[in-house]
Amino acid sequence: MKKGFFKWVHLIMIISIIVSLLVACSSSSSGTSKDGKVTLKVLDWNNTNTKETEKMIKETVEKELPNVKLEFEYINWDTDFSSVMQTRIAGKQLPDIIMIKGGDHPKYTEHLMDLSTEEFMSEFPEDIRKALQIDGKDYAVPYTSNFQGVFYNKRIFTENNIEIPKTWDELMAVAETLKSKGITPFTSHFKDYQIGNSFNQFATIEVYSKNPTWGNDLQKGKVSFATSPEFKTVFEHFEEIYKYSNKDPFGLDFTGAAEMFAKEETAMWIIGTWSTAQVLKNNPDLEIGFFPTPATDEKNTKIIMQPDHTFSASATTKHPKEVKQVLEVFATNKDMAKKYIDIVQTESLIPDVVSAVQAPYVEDINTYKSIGAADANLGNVQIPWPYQEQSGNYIAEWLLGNKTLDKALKASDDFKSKVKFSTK
Amino acid sequence: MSKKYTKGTFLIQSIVTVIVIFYLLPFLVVFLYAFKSPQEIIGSSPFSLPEKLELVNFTQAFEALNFFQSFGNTFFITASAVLLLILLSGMAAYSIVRGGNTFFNGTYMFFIAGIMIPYQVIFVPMFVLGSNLGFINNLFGVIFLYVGTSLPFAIFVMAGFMKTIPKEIEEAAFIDGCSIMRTFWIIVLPMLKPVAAALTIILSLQIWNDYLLPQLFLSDNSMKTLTVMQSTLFSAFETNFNVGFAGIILSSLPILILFLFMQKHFVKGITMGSGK
Amino acid sequence: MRLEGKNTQPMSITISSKPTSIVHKKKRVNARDIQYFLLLLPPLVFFIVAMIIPLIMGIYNSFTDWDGISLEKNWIGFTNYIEISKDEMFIQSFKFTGLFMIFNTIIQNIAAFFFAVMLDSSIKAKNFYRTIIFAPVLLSPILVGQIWTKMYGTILPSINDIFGLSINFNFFSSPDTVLTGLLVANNWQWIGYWMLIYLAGLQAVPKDIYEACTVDGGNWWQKFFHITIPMLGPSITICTIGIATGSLKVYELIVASTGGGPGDSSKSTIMHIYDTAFMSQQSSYASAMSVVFLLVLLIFAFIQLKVLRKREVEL
Repeated sequence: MKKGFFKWVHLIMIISIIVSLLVACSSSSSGTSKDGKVTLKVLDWNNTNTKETEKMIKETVEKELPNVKLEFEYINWDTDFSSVMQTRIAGKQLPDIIMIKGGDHPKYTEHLMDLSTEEFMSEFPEDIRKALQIDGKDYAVPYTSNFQGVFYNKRIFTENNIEIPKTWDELMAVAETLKSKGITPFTSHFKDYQIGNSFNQFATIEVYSKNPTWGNDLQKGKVSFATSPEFKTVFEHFEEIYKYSNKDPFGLDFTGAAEMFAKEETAMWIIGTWSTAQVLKNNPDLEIGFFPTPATDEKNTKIIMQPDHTFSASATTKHPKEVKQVLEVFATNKDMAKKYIDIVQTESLIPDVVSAVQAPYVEDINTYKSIGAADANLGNVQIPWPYQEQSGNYIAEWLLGNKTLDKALKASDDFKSKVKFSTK
Repeated sequence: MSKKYTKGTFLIQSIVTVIVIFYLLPFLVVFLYAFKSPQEIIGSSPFSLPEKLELVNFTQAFEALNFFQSFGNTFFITASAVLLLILLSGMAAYSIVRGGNTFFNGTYMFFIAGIMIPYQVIFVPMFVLGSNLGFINNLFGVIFLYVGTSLPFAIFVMAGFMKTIPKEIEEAAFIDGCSIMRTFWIIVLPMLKPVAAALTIILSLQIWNDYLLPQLFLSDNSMKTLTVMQSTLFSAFETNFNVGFAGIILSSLPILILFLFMQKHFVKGITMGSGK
Repeated sequence: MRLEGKNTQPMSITISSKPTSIVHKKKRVNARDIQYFLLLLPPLVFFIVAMIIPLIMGIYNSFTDWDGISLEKNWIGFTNYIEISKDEMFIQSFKFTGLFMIFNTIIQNIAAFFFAVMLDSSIKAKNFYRTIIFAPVLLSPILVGQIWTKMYGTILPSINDIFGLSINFNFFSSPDTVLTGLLVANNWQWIGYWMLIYLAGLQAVPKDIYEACTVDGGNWWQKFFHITIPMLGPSITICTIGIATGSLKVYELIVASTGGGPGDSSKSTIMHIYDTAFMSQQSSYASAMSVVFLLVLLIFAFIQLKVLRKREVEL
């Protein structure tokens, strides 16, 4: 830092100014590059084997549409999706194609392209389209769905002659039996999103099954957590799960839970199909079975299905034609859809595309699917994720003895004014 | 103040050694993990030595961090912001200290009031304004905000130092017909070297490790900084601690080496920045 | 106060030129002031754009119902502020942040002070120790959070296995211990920084004072209490202010370790504001919380300034 230091100051400042001018000029042209190719940005929150999916999608799309180049960007759905979307919308920098989780759409309809009139949308059966439509309009290409319920260790169940429970009480009886034999019944990872996720599961089978518009009614002030006996049941389910869980669930996160379940330390895990890839990575030989989360009333014990990965387009994209072409590839290329679900290990919403993954839990899911499934999207659309998560925090405080059950329910009601519901 | 190695000194030495072992424990764990395979982490004690060095962790972390890009971004942001800060705070401090009338004193108080406001408290409207000014996914926007928000502190330190510089040299320059601007550039700025070094060290440490601003403003892959990429190493769905901890070593190594080389300046810088 | 400073600019120039009676001298003074002002202008622009305008915008937004995305924005008066007074979560996050600050200030000050005293003695390998204790300062708080999550979750419990103990090390999994856990992590990171300031302060104490004390028959304790502590007065002030302000804006460490949990027990005020603005999309409500937090900070700053002034008078 002698005399040269200040020469450097000058030099770097001059360079900065020049570069800033260049950046300012180039930042607006995030599109056509020199070779005539259109670069489209894709915002993606998938987190299972992303490297493989990215490579596969790029290859397929760029083969069908030689003038298009895709650029992927990954974010964490549960921690970052809302904030990243908000910053992009505020900065008018929404990526051209956005992967949106089924249920998140109502928040963003203003900023998404209306796909209702596109021909490729007619490929999908009415009921699948309806699940994602807002005011009768399509804003997304449905792509995959996940299934939620109870994943269990087949070996432990067979060795202890355990029957698949069909009601909540039977599930608790199973838990008691396992516990008496020294086996921990449930894997629980309350450190991250599990309470929020199970909140939706339990609410779907116990509450929304009876009143599909409960979330809307909550918003309108017609119902409340504190006065709903069904929601009290939902909350109480957590207490019972907590009782039969591994030691210290509040210290365990998803990764740790996957490790624990893979090491056969617990018998059951109430989660969704996105977990199996991580479990099988730790223990490829594990025999995982699946049954629907049992409801208090047997007739509501249904497998929970949720549209998961869906693809939407920004309403303000500079390349609407190319974006629609890419979405068409997603909607119609069955070969790609099949590869996708095999890599991500999930189920496709593209007609006639069936997973090749051969695992006991997939067979179980298919069996239960034929009986009928509950659509988890209803509740998800009506009560936004941050709200579910916050209610989960109140449940945690109750389980940890910092709140009474009634206070936790009341706090959930009070949070209503602190969260933005869907724009419509 | 005896320089002898007495019993008391031995006692202190033992206490300090125990403390340092406590300090080293997390570092030790980071190192052991970074060289193990996932299977070994699940299967063995955290304190066991790795069976064989899993260098693949480092290449994976290198890739996951997008190391050159994110390191370059962080470096560019930090260096530009710090340089601008030194220059601007020097200018402000000079006119405040030498200008000397009520207006300049008032401006000084105006700036100083900003010291107690961490930008973290006003980041919501800052984000709204920034998005209107086109600061989103713009390295210069973030640099601008770092400069603006750190200026109060930098001016505070600079002005303190400026008061200790004798006026005589400048006055000689005025008599020779130098303008105030020219005097500042040619005579005053070079005299600020010691305080500039001090400020460089404190400010770069702050900006280098900051997370909130880049997390809010820079969501484009090519603009992410090291701190933001670090947080992606530990995602909720797929955390490989061996890769994550290898990433910790990778991303902290440059600044650690810098510290070892500049240890003396560091100490001087910190004490100077806070002592004035 | 700020706007005042800005507005008085043309006025003060004329005032300053008033007493000078000779016309051409008046001209020169003016020119000087303008030159000084030109030097001051760029920093002012940066400061006003980056801090003052957002501040004013934030205050304005806090009286509206804006969600941060939509184009609609309605004036709703003090509704947000009334909500805050009833918002248990805000109060809880505030309490947590306050406790975090108080404990940090006490522990970090004392520990840094004693580390400095110990490292200023005639022990061996001082530089090595100093480097180790300072090293965590160089890590980003994100990494510190991850490292300590792993420490509490796996590493320390495995010590139980080795020695056959059953100490509960998982500080992050219970609301009663989460503060302790975060304090350990935060202090591990920052003690080294403040230790250096105390070290510099110690080394600035003239050696002959100690020698004079030794001649007068003073022992180690007397020297410590009558020379070391009073001479380090300024360092103590600096460290206290630095640690307190640093603790109040804690965010990264918590995001990377507990995520505010279990429940809401370790949510800091900044984190709560962030979640409200960017997760729940209540931008205006978050702004109102910022304003309240800012007022508290300013009151706090005022008290600190007073204490500082008082100390200066005493010296």
